[in-house]
Amino acid sequence: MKFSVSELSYLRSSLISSPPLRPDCRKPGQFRPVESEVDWLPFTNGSARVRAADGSECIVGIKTKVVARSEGSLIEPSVDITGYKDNDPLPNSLAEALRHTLNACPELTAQLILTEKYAFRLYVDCVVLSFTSHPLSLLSLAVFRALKSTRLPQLISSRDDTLVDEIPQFNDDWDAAQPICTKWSPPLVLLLAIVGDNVLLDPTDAELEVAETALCITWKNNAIAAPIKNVDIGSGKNVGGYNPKVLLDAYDLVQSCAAQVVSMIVS
Amino acid sequence: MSSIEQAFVQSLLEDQKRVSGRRLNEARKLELAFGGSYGHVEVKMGRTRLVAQVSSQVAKPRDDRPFEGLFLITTDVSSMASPRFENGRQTVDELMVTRLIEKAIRRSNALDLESLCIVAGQSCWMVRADVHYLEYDGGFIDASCIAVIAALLHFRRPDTSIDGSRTIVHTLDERPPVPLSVLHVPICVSWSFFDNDIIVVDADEAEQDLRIGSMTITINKDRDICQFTKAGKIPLSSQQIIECCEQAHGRAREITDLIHEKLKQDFEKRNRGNMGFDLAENDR
Amino acid sequence: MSRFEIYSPEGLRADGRRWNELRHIKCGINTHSKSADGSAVVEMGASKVVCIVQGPQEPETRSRVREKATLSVSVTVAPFSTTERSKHVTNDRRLQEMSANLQNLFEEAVLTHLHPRTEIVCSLTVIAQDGGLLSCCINAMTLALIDAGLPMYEYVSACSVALFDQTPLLDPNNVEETELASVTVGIVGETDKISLLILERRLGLDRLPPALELGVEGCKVLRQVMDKEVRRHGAMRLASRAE
Repeated sequence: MKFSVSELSYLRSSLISSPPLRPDCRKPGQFRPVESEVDWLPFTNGSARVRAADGSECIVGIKTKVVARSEGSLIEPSVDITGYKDNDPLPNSLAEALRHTLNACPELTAQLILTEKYAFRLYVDCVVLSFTSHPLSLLSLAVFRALKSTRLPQLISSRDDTLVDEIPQFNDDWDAAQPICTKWSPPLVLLLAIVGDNVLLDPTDAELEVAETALCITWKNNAIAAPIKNVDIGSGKNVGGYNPKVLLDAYDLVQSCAAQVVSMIVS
Repeated sequence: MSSIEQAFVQSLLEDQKRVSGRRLNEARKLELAFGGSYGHVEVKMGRTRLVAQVSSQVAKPRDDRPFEGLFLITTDVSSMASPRFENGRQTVDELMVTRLIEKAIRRSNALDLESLCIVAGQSCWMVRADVHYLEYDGGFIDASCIAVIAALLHFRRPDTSIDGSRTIVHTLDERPPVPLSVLHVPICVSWSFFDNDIIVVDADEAEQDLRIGSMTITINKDRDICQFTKAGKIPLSSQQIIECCEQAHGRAREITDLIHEKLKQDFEKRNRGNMGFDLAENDR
Repeated sequence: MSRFEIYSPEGLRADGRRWNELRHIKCGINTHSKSADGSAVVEMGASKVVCIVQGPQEPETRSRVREKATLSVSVTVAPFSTTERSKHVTNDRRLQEMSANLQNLFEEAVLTHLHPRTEIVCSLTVIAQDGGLLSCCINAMTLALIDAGLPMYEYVSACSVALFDQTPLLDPNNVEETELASVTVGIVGETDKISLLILERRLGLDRLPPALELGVEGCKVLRQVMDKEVRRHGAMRLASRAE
């Protein structure tokens, strides 16, 4: 959507006022409603579909493959966006962000290890069917839901294969499969826009248009976790530094409202 | 093409006539010439002219298919053929040409890949067919398919033997070269559709610019359809489709015979003067 | 897999169907009402395709400004759609060929001359594949174009037929498709005339006629199923307007 100069200026001045006035009357820490479904793809270990109220939709399917542990990374995310080519920057940067977040999660990697020699490789494949605002939050919600529903087949051969050359054997009964998220919760990446001295959770496209920058903050196991970083939003209209104090505000905002977001998508 | 030219071609077609003087279901005459080296074929159909060259080298087979050799077809439509093609950029039509030839020859198993294996999982022959387009006057698919299959039939690869763990490739002087095992000869026949339900075989450049759609049938002498592509434009009843297939079969027979005859002539010429170790294979 | 498992002497296929039975078809229209002008989901057995249509809208590139509306079709195959995970590149030749075929087929059915100088963007996403990929895409695209309110002459419906010796098997699943040669047949409207015919494996010419006949019958059934869904959705919309 294209906005006129006066529209953008009006939007910016209402967003930098204190407290900020968002066009859809949301509070700074309020997430837009989403609905989700899990376990609906027949050929996957875990899957989820998340739809936002504006029609944005993201599908995630998680599949696994047994590989030798020496063979590179165990977590392999990929992002496809309908209408985008493989070499477009957006899907690649999203996949990179997911790789970063998931690899910074030792609990997940620990679950994937089967024996001394073999491990599961986790393919986290995301398809964004349509989106209006930056798809990072939605994508992360979908991955969160999918990981929560992911189950791995039960290993029936021995865990220790340092001495014997044995290919892992699995229980054929899918009911015996173990959920991957046992006592921990997968990471959730929240996107925040910084406008003036205000921080806004889950910004819309229009809000990002007038923002200085966007931040992503990871929420894991009821605490803020790495990575916390800037996100290139591509608009670049108000590029400039921001007050470091805002970072602390962002931190506080996530601390206070992330639990709500989690409970919203799980319900 | 100017609109007056378009109207002319279209009005002729509506009177069941063509600019080239052919009937609607009459294909152009095919000229086939083999070059000096094995696997070099030049094909002419009207003004369309192209060259196919088959070559081979020893390579490692794919991990998932250790008993099979490799076979590659590359088609290079460059601006040499016609200014309408841009170098290095592939349009959808060019893509369809490449895909169709690939489906017609490679995926129909015209070349027996297992016969290209030297040592399972270790080494095999990689056969590649390169098609170069010299001049464009429509009918690229039909002509390139004929060129590739004729080049495969003409090609001789060096003989190999195994000495312990070593693979020896014999030069042409040491041992007579070996023909490839070609299992069948697929021939492509293309139809073009025009407004008012006109269907024409083997369109030339002007007709190809005017057509609204096309259909390609690949069939061999043994009445096996190897590939059939028709997407939209003029709906045909199944009877019409079968009729087209029968026509294509007739043309496939003609062309296959022509290829074999030309091959025989070429090898007779080659073997004149020596007692001809190749003669035994010519009858195939 | 042995030949008897594909089609038993008693006339049953591996999944318990007879030779002339379609798989369970589930289709939905207007499934993504907020994000697209037209949308549909079609499931044929375990295959599932989502189609989203935007437009007619201003073309993105000048080359698409023509006397008729330009149909641009893109196909995305989700990496998790097959039993073995496989990542497709978007410029995969097979997918490009498929979108070209879809574009050619639908130019016959959509009245593109009514929307000159516009572009109709159709994005197909393959979520699960279990045979009949092309036909599933065609059916999904028909419904999505209807949902977008684009004028069309008739429904475009397609289904595939595999051949087991002389017996044609309607709507083959993935196992049957890998083992046997199959043809995809597409028709526009309720005719016996075939608009689309794609065959990629070797097949004797004399085995083709029964396959075509069965394919056309299958298409007609699919057309009815789609028509029912469109009417159901239309009635629902009318009812909600009346309230």
